[in-house]
Amino acid sequence: MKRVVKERAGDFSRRKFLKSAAAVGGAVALPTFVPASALGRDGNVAPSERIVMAGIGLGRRGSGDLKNWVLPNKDAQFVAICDVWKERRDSIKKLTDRAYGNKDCKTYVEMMEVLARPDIDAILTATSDRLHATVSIRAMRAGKDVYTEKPASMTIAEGQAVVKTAREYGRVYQAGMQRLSEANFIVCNELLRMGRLGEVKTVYAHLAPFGDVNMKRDWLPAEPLPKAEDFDWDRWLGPCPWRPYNKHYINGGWHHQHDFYTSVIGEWGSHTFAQCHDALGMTDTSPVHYPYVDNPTADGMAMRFANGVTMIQKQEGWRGTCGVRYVGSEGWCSCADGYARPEVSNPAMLADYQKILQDYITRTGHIVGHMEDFFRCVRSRTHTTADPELMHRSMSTVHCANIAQWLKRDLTWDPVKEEFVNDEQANRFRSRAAREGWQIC
Amino acid sequence: MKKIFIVMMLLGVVCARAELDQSVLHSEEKLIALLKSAGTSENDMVTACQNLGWCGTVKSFDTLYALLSHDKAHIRHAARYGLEMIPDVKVADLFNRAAGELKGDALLGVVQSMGNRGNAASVKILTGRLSDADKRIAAASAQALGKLATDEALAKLKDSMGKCPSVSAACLEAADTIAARDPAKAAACYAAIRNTADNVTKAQRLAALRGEIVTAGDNGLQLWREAIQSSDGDTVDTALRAVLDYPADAKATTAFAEMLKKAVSARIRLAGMLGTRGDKAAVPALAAMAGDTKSVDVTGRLAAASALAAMNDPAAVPALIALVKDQNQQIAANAKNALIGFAGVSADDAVLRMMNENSRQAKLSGIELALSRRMSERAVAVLTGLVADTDAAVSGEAVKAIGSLGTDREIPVLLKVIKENPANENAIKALASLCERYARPRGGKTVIKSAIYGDFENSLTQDVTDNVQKLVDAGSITIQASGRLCRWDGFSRDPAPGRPKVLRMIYTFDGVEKSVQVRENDSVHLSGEVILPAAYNPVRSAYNKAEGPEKLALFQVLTSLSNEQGLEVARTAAKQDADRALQEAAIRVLINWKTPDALKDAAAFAQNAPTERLKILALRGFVRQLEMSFTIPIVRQIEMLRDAQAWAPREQEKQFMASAVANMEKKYDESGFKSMFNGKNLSEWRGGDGWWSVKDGILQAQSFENKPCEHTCHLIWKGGEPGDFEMRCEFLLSPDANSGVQLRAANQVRGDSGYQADMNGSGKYVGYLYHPKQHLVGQRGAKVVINAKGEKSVKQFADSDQLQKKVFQAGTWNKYRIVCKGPSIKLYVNDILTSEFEDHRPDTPRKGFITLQMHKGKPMKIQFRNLRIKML
Repeated sequence: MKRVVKERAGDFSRRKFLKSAAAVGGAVALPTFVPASALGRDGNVAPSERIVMAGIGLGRRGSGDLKNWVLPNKDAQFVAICDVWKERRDSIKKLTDRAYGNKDCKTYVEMMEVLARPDIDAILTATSDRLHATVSIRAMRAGKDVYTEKPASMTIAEGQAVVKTAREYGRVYQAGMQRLSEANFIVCNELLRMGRLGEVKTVYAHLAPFGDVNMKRDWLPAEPLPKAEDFDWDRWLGPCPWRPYNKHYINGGWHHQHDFYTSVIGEWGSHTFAQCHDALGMTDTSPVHYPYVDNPTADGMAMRFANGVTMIQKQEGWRGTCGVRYVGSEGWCSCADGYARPEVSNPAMLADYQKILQDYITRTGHIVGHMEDFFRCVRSRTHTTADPELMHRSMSTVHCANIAQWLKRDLTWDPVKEEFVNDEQANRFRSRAAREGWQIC
Repeated sequence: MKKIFIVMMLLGVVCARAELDQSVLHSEEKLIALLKSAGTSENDMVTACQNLGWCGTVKSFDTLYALLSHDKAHIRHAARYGLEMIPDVKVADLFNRAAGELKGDALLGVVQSMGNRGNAASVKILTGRLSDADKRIAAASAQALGKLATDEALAKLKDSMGKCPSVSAACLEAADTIAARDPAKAAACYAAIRNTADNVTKAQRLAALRGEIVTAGDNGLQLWREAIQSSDGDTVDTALRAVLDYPADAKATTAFAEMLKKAVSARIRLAGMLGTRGDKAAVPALAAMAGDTKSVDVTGRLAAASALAAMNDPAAVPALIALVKDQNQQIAANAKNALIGFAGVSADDAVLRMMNENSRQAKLSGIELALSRRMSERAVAVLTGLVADTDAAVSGEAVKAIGSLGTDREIPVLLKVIKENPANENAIKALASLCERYARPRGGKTVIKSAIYGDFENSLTQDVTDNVQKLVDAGSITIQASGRLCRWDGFSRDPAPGRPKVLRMIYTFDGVEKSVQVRENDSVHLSGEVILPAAYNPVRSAYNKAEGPEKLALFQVLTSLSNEQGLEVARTAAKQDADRALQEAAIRVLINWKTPDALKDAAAFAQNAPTERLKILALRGFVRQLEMSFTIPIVRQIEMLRDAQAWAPREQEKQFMASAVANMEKKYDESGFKSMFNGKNLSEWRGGDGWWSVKDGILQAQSFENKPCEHTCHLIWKGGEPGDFEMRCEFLLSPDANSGVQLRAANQVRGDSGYQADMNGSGKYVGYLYHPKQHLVGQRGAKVVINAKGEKSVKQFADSDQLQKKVFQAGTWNKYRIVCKGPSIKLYVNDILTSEFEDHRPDTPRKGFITLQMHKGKPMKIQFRNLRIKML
C-alpha cells in the first residue's frame, strides 16, 4: 500500500498541552477534530477501559515520561515496572503507587514475564540506547504497542527488524522524538511543507556539543558483582558484548562506549535528523551521500539526499538544544528547545502561528503532545508521528554518518537496497552479533 | 544536562589497560598474532575479534573458528561477532561445521549466527535441531530458519508447527519475507498458523490473520469482512490495521469502504484508515457518510470528512467543497480546514469557482479558503474584482485578503480604496500588512560590543558577549534574552535565579552604534528592517501627494513598522503645521516610539508641543524612553529628569516626575554594588563550621535539638579585607537565633573578633554595634565616639526601645545597611540610622574580613539574602 506522506506533530507536559490547546481553541471557534473517545472499540461510546501500560527500564528520562505524560493521563493505567535495577524498580513503584493512591504497581526483573501478562496493552521503554530495539521487538511480538525512548536502534539491521515486526504484528509504535509533537517544531515543519520558505535546498540539524564519533571500548576494572536481585548485570548488558561489572557503566558511563552508544551523532541526531526527514517528507529514505569530515564530532557533515537536498549537521547556531534550521529560496526558519517562538527570516511568517498549528491538527489527526498522540493511535490503530519507518530511516542516517566517520572516507548509501555502494567494509557495520540467548532480530 | 555532567566526571576514569596500538587495530596479521599469543588479555582478545570483523578476511577464519569453542562465553561471542561481519560467503560453512561440533551455550550462539549468515546447508542442520532436547536451541533454530526464509526453511517450519511458540513466530517472520515474492505461499503459511491449535499465542494468531488478509486475494477480503464485524476487539483492530497494509487495489478499497455502512462499531476508525490508505476509490462511500445530513452521528460525519482530507486526492475535492456549505457548522468548519491543507491545483480551482459563485456565503468561504491556502496570483486577480462587490462584507474580506496575499502589483488597488474612503480600516491594515511582508532585515555587518544578561539592580549579571557574537556569526538576527546565552556553571545557566532579568546590548550595525535592552524571554532584532522600494516607493509617493484624511491614513501605514523609514516620515510630519491632524498624529507616534531613538523628539515635544495634552503625553514618553536608554549614565539620566521636571505643566505631572527622579535615584543608590552571594552555592564563602547551606537562593544556617550549635562560629566572605565600604543585606531569624555581620574581623572561624552589626530573633540587639571586648559599645539610638586616647562620649539621638519598635519587625525579612569609612561605622536597619560610631584609637584595625556569625545556643535558623557590597 502506498505510504502517505505524513505530516506529524511533539513534547509537552499535559498542562502545557492543555494550555496550547486552549489557545488554539481561541483562534478557531469550532472543534473540528474527531475526539479520542470516538476512537474506542465501542464506536461513539467512550471506552471505559483504559490503556493498560507497563514500563521496562525507566531511569531518569523514563521516570520523567511516566510522571509527566502517563500517570496524569486518564486514558492510561500504569500497572507494572520491569527493571534489572532494584533501586529503580522500587522508585518507579513508589512514584506510581503514590500517584494512584494504591499499592498495585507490580515489579519484575525479567521482561518476558511482564510481556506475558495478557492484560497489558502497551509498553513504555527507556533503557539506554543498547536495548531500545530489543525491548520494542519483544514487546510487539507479544502483541503490545510500544512507546520507546530514542535513539531507537543500535544498528541498521535493528531498525529494519523494528519496521518488520511492527508490520507483521500490526502494532502501534512511537519513538521518543517528542519534538515532532511540539508546537514550535510543528510550525517550522509546516512552514517548510506549505512552501512558505520557497524551495528548500539546505537544512541544518543540531549536533550535541559534546562527545566524539570514535567511541571508547573500555573494560573498566572489575568490581564485585552485585547480587542479581539488586542489580542484574547480565540482563543489563542484554545482547551487547560482555565485560566485567563496573558501576560507572550503569551510572551514565555507558555513554561514549562503542558497544552501548550511538555516538555524539546519535545523541541529538536521533531527534534532529528525524525532524528534518519529516519536514522534507523523507520519511521512507535516507541521504545517499555522506562526506567524511575531519573533526572528532563530524561537525559540518553535509549529507545529501537523492533529490539534491542537503542536510548539514552543526554544533553551533542555536541557543537551545536539538535545533533545526531550514533554509529556502524565500526565507528561513529555525527552532530549538526553549525558543518562545521559532526564529524566522520574516516575522510575518508567524502571524498565523495558531492557525498553522490548528490546520496541521485537523489535517493530520495528530495532536500536540507525543505521548497523547501515541495513546490516540493505540485507539485508532493508525500511524504515529514517529512511526517505525521514520525512526528507522532517520536512525539509518545516524548510523551511516557514524560509519563514514569511523572509516574516514566518503560513503554512498543505496536507501532502496539498504546497502553501501561499492564498499564492502562499510556494509559490515550494518549489524552486530547478539550474545548467546539474546538473538531477536 | 545532567548527562553531560556525568560524562565529564567519567572522562577521569582510568582505563583498565593500555590502548592497543592503532597499527595493531587495523592489521589483520597483527590481530591474528595477538589472538594466538598466550599472554593476551581477555579484553584484548575481544577487541581483536571485533576488529577482525572490521578488517578481516578468510585469513582470519581459522583463528576465529577456534575461538567459537572457547570456554569463556564472551570470547565465543566476540569470535561470532567478528565472523558475522566478514562478508565472504564461506562464513556459512564455518558456522555449519561448528554446529556439528559444539554443544550447549556455544551451540546456541552458533545457531543464532546461522540465522544471520546461513546458507542452504544450514537449513538442513537447523531443521534437525528443531527437536533438540535443549529448548533454547530448538527455539533459536526455529528463529534462524525464520530469518533465512527460504522455501525449504518455510516448509520445514510448517511441518513443525505447534511444537512451540517460537516455530509460529519464525513462520510469521518467514512468511512476511516470502510474501513479497510469493503471496500465495505466504497466505498458505498464515492459514496454517491460524489453524494450529497448540503453541500459537493470541498475538501470533492475530498477526497471521493480518498476514492472510493482505496476501490471500479475494479470500483475504472475505476474511477481512468477517474480522471487521467480529465481536472480538483485537480482531477488529487487526482488520483495521490490514486496511493500511493491503496492496494497492481499487476493488479492495471499495470492499473496505462498503463496510462503512455495516461495521457500525468500527466505522469511525475505518473511515480514518481509508483516509490514511489514500485510495480515491473510497471517496464515494466517505462522501456519502460525511454528507449524510439525516444522520445523527455527527462524529462519524466528521471522521469521514477528515478522512477525505487526509486522502489528499483531487477526487475528494468536490465532496469537501459540498461539505463547506453543510448546515452543520462543525462539518462545514471541518471541511474548510481540510481544504486549507489540501495540496494541489484541483483544490485551488475549486476555491476560485467558489469565489465566483453568486451566493454571498460561497464568496466569503472562498475568500477565507484562498487566504488560508495562501493562494497567490490567480486568487488575487479574483479578489481584486471582489473589492468592488456591492456587498460590504465581501468587499471588506477581499481587501483584507489582498493585504495578506497581494504583491506590490496590488498596492494601487489598495491605495485607490483608501483614497475613496480614508476611514476604511480594513484597507489601511491590509496595506500595512502588505508592506510589512516587504520588510527585510537590512543586510549589514553586526558587531556585538557588549552583551550583559542578568539582574542589574542586584549586580547578578553575566557577560554573554562572546556567545551572542557566535550566534550572530552563525546567522541569527534575533537574540532571545534567556539563560541559554549564559555559561553552564555546573549548576545552572541562570545568573540571578528567581529574579527579573534583562539583556543589555551595545552593538554596531554597519558601523552605527546602537543600544538595546529587553526583558527576559523577549527578543532583540539586531538589524534594522526596511520596506523594500517596490512596496515603499508607491505608498510614499501617494502619501506625498495626498491631503487630509487620506494622508493621515497613509501615515498610519508608513509608520506601522516603527523602523527608520517610519521615523523619518513621522519627524517630517511633526514639523509641518499646515495639517494639524497629521501633525498631532505624528507627534503621538514619536512620543510612543518603541525604541529610545525618539528620545530627543519626545524631549522637544514635552516643551514645544502645540497643546498641553500633547506636552503631557510627550513628557511621559520621554521618561519611558529614558528608562530604555541604559547607555546614558545614571547620573546623567537623573540630571535629565531633573531638567525635565521644569516641563511638567500641572501638579499631577510634577508628582509623576518627582517619583521618576526618586526611582532613578534609588537605582543610582544601588548602582556600583557587587553581589557577595550568587544564590546557588557557597563558592564565595568559606568556613562556617559546616552549618551553612544554600536553599532557594537563600544563604542559611540551622541547628536542631539533637544537633545544637555548641561553638560560636563564622562564615567568611572570600572577597578580601575591605576597609571602607557599604554593605547591604536582608536577614530573617528564628525567635531564638543569634547572629550578626562581623566587620573588619580577623580570619577566624571560631570565636568573635572585630565589630559586629548585631542581630537576634527578638530584635533586642538589632541595630547595635557589638564588640567582643567592649560588648554593646555602639548603642542603638546613639552616636558614640571613642577618641584617640580611648575616652568614650555618648550622645543619644533617639530612644533605644522606641527605635527598635520603629525599625524592626520580628519574623520577617529586615534590611541591614552597614557603612564603614575610616574611623566611622554607621548602621541602618530598614534604611533608618540606628547606631553611629567612631573609633579614633590608632590600634583599632581599619580593615578586615566580613563574616556571618552563628552564635552558640538554642536551636535556631538564620537566613540571609541579597548580600551586596560597594567599596567606598
